[in-house]
Amino acid sequence: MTKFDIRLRRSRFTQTRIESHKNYQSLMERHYESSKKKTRGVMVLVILLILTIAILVAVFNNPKEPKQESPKENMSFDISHYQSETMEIEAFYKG
Amino acid sequence: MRITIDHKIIEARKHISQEEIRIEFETVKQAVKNPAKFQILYDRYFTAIFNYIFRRIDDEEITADLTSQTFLKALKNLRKYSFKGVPFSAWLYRIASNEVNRHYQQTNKKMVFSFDEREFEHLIEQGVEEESAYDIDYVIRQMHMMCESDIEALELRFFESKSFAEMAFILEITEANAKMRTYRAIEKLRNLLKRRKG
Repeated sequence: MTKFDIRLRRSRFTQTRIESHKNYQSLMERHYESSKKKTRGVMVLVILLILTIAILVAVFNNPKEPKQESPKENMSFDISHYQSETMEIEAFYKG
Repeated sequence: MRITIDHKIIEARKHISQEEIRIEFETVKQAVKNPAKFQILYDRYFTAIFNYIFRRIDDEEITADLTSQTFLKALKNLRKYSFKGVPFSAWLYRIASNEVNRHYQQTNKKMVFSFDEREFEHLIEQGVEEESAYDIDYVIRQMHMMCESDIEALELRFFESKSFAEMAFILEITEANAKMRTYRAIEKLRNLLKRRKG
């Protein structure tokens, strides 16, 4: 079995009949419509790209949080209340 | 049905000169800037493309759709068109051929070659000796033994009167290959018809 079929036509298409299918106006409308769609698509892509870049910049340029100092490295004690107590005792004995 | 081949009936070839091809390319360049200029090319080639597609589809409505689709694709991709020394129509034929192939892939229908009777006589002229008479139905049956690409080559050469350079451009092969494919197809047809004579 062949993949194609050969047919023989007895009559030819008239020019008028072919002309009836001609519609340049419709072709142009379809062209402008598809151009618009293409432009919209490109715009969406550009916006997405800009958003992606903005997100990436925000993530990688985030200012580093100050490191919490470990208690072992900084063993400071608040002794102000001891000092005030000492001063009070001294004043009592002097007075 | 029997037909007698009259070798006096030879259609005038519709080749255009290099100068005309260059002028046409200028129109294409203008159409890139201003799509309204594309109408010149649309009007010039609509009938030819319609006939070419109809020969491969044999359905008027589908042919009208595919012809419109061909011109729309041409208009969309006009910026990509580059001058290769062949008429602009060759590019349109290439797009049309791709559209037809896509149609058959999508619909899964059997491919059709619908030939006009007079065109067919002209084709047989190339494959037989002078003053021969052949049963046209027999010729068609024999042609079913040929491959699709052979019929396509014969169609472009004898029904569309394309030069080998144009055929090469449309079929995306080299000019030498286009010549070889055509001569091989003619030879096959000749052999198939000789078998009948013998």
